Amino acid sequence: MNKLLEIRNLSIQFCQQRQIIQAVEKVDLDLFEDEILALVGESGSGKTMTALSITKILPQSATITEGKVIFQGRDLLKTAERDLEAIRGKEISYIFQEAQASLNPVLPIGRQIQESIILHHQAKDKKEALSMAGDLLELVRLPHPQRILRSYPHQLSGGMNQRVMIALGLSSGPKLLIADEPTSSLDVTVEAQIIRMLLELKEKLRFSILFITHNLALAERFASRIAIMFKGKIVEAGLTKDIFSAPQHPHTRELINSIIRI
Amino acid sequence: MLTYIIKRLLGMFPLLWGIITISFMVIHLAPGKPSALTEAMNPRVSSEVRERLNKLYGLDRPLPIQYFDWCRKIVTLDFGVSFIDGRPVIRKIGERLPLTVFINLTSLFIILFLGIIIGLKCASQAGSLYDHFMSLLVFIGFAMPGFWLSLLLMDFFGLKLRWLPISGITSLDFEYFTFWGKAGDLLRHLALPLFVSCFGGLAGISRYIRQNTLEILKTPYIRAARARGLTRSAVLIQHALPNTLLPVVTILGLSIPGLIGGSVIFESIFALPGVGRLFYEAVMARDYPMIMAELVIGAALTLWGNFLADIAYSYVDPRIRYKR
Repeated sequence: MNKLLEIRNLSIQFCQQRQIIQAVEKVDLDLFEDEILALVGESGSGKTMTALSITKILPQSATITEGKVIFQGRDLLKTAERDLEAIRGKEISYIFQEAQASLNPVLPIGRQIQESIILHHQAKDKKEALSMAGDLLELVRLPHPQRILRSYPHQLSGGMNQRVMIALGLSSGPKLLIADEPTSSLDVTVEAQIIRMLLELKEKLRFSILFITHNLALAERFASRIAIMFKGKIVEAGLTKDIFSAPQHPHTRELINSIIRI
Repeated sequence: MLTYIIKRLLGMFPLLWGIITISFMVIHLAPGKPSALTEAMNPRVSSEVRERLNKLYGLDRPLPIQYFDWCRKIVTLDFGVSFIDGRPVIRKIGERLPLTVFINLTSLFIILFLGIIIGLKCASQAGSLYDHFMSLLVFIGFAMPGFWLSLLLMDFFGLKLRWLPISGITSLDFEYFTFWGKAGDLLRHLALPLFVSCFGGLAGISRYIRQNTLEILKTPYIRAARARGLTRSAVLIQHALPNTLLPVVTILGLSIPGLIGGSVIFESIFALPGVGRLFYEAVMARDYPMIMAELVIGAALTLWGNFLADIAYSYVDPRIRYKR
């Protein structure tokens, strides 16, 4: 398998109340084509920071102090902002935890998908883009796509909004989908539906997923490989079955034990 | 939504009645009478003459009767005639209206246009030199009393440089100008008043837009829009701006009474024949019908402005539009 993404020696700091906090410390991570890698860790362990740094959309208070992010042979941390804009949403898409909050409250769903499609030159005019948006909503199995195109985010449920986000993320056929806790704010049945759908879409459209979660049980079901993150560092990484059969790091063992107890 | 509108409209009547009653009482409680002006100018006016004047104005009748009489007229939108020259109050206001509305609409437009641009630019470059410079300028504008600034500008541009006229809206030989000459003359007269009325208002709006935009730039949907590959300026204009502008609708509604009320202070300083100055003159002459008419119209417009702002707000914000 070919390497799609290679993170080397990545460190991120951020400033909070005049204190410098080391959010991510010398992280190495490899992601191959057509695989699902789960990045697992408790909240505040630096998972989201790592994910956001890949296309440099970190908040202003955070700075990348060292490292490389090599995507398809190109160091994204050295890439100009204009070229990054062409990669974001086209080659690398994100879906976030709060789907409703991640959609603009005053713009109809259709307009937001249409905008993304036109931005990455997937359609030649607005009309074609809108009909493609309808197809995408069908792809993520939303009923009555035409009605949803005209709806606003607050009119849809959390699960529906997350499906819209996935449709948006997949609108330009990305190579990598970064899913940052995509199901954490959903209830368990909806979570299962979304996960199943992501797996099917991955088989159909062939992309890699960097799946960020605090839920090791979910990672086990979903990912072929797992990286465990703890206090800004990757403490253990390997095939899912190896991690579960022979955990090396005490924190990994803690995480596994906490699943069984539930 | 319809029931809401009807409820709001019905609720306006008691409020309006309260305002009418209170303004009536306050004016009649204030010392001095319209006839006092005539007396003061002529010490030999006898009490006989004073009574004749009071009778002429209807001021000799008991207050409750005056009050009911006045309420009855208001209902039919009859504001009476001015004590000063006996002409209908409504017509006098109507004559002064175009100038006031023109000045206020123009300055409102300029304020919004520049305020939004300055506010957005400051928010997108928060902490930069531009942001600090604009903040300073804006605070100066906010803190500077309008009348004082007017006097300074009149002194500098009108007296020292002699570039601009300092009062009125037309020159003496206005009648002999061509059309473009007339337009230029009007503009030259209005330049200073417009500048003064914009400078103060710009401060509030641009700060407001800046603060609002800063809050919005922190929201998840802005981050998500960036993550989809939109440029910074596209995010700012297509995603942040519509959200920033929502509360501006309320400001627009609240500025409706100001559009017609005019500014007493700078219309007086620049000697502009607008509604504000009419009000000032009416107060000085204790011209009751005039004062009352302006108060009632102002109050009614304030209520209308509030009402329109609420309706418009619920229309532009889809989260409210679909709830009622």
